[in-house]
Amino acid sequence: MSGQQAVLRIPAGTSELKEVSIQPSVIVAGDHPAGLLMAEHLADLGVAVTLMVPFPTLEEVVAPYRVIASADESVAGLLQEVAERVSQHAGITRVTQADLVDISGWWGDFSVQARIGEDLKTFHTSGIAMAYRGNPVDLPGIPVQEGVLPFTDFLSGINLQTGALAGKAESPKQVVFLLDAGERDEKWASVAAIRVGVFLKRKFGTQVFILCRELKVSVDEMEQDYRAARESGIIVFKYRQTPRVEKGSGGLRVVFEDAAAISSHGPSEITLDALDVVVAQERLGLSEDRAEVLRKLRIPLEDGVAGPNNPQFTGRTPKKGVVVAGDAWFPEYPTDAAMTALSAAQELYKWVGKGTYQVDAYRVAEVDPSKCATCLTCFRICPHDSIRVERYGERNVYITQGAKEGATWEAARVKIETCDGCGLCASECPAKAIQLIYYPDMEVLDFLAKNL
Amino acid sequence: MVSKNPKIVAFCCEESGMPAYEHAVSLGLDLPDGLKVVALPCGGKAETGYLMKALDEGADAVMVFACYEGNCKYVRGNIRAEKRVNYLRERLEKIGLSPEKIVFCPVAPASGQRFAELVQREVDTLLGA
Ligand code: SF4
Ligand code: SF4
Repeated sequence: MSGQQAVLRIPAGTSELKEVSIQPSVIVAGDHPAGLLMAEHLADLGVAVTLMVPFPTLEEVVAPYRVIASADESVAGLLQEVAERVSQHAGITRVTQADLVDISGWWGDFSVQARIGEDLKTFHTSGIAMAYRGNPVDLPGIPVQEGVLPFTDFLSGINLQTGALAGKAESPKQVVFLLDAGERDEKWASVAAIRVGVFLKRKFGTQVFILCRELKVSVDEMEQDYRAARESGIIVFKYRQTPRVEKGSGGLRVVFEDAAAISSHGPSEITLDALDVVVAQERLGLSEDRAEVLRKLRIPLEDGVAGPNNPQFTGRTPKKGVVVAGDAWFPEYPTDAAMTALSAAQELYKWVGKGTYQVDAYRVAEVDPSKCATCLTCFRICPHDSIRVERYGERNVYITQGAKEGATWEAARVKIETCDGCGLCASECPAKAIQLIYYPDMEVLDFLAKNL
Repeated sequence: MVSKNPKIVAFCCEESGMPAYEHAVSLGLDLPDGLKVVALPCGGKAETGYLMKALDEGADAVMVFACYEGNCKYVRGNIRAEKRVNYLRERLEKIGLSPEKIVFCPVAPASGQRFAELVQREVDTLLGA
């Protein structure tokens, strides 16, 4: 029968509310325009913002996106004056040539190390937003050779006046955009290729071919884009297997099987020859040192980006008070990246904007320091990075090897402000030193003993 | 020996397994009387001690209902639970017991139907064994 079963529910229990006060301050760091947008948004909401960019000027944050902005009005509108506005915003402290190298601490009390030129400097803040560009990790399936450029290098290398690429005098005559060779479903390159392609064709007369696995019509206004492309003479092909890129006559040659062809109509293999440039959509991922900063905070990365592991909340990470945007979240077209940035900024505002917060000191885990073996299992497991090994008093019986003098009594401690009460630490502690205060093991074990 | 009415303990993640159980009840689906349900904040809280204690107290089988991969509120609690279950299944087999006594079942919150089916399948497995 349904509903007749013995059920043990999680006790509702009384809350032990504890008030904490949080300074409304954030550090926004990174080289992606999403950082400028977040800084501006948070500063407008009255949060004290420290913005760190790795360049001498803010303009350099936006510069690589100028080509897309020339090809797309909505991107232009978004990025046009953001660098100027942010450089003059009274609520933003700007730190240039600064790279964030380490983060420790918690929501409300982070300590951030930044390299500024040659120096290392420590900052304190309540919340952190990171907005990084991705680096080209590889070109999936396409051998590196002369004339093959990752898309982002192409975008940042092109001269807007002449259409020439860095180190070249003239604009290329024939360009192939080779998209979708990777596994990850990203739309940014399809949108950028078609809009930048139309721009190149109209302004410099470049013959543009776009090779893709599928047409991305799920993006807003893409039908109009395909029409504009057709009208300006851009040719779009769908391929079956990743095309071959090789040396051809007077440039590069790309060979592929046309997915639209039907075999009875003759051979379906198509060859594009005498190409000046093959622009290949690369896999974008965080640089190793930046990835390391995120990993240390237990922010899970998949394939070099944070988004796929946190599908429910845009920009939010399991580390309370830290949000991620830009390609570090997921490689997106600038207008989409702006939406992500604003949601991430909103999320961060929730954690720093209110001033005082109630935290529940009951629905959390607690360590019995007299049992803790300082094995660090819980520290490694906690998804919210909410456990540290700290010095206690005399109650602890274990002594860590190599402990500094005076630091004889150490045990794990749960930071209740950021603990979410999931119990993962308790389930793995080999010394049975951790219990969920609101749902101790005894409740479960008693239930089993009584009902079996 | 497994009786006609096997005792099964379902450890249910509060985010998925528990709502799936409630959903099955609200649909009036058949669930065996021998089913005992234990809510947990995360599938990953279904610790070895709980699972073994349940068998030790006389449960014929233990089921862990958690979120699908990629859906865990606590990032990887579900994967941790699955690994733990797989490890225990190996141990059971080594000592000559059926590994089917401990199973891991990913469910979505609104899948009462699947919850009931999985429990029924477990009953059938136990009785057929
Ligand atoms: S897992 Fe248990 S024994 Fe190990 S450090 Fe954490 S509390 Fe201490
Ligand atoms: S209960 Fe969960 S969130 Fe809290 S300290 Fe343990 S593992 Fe971390």
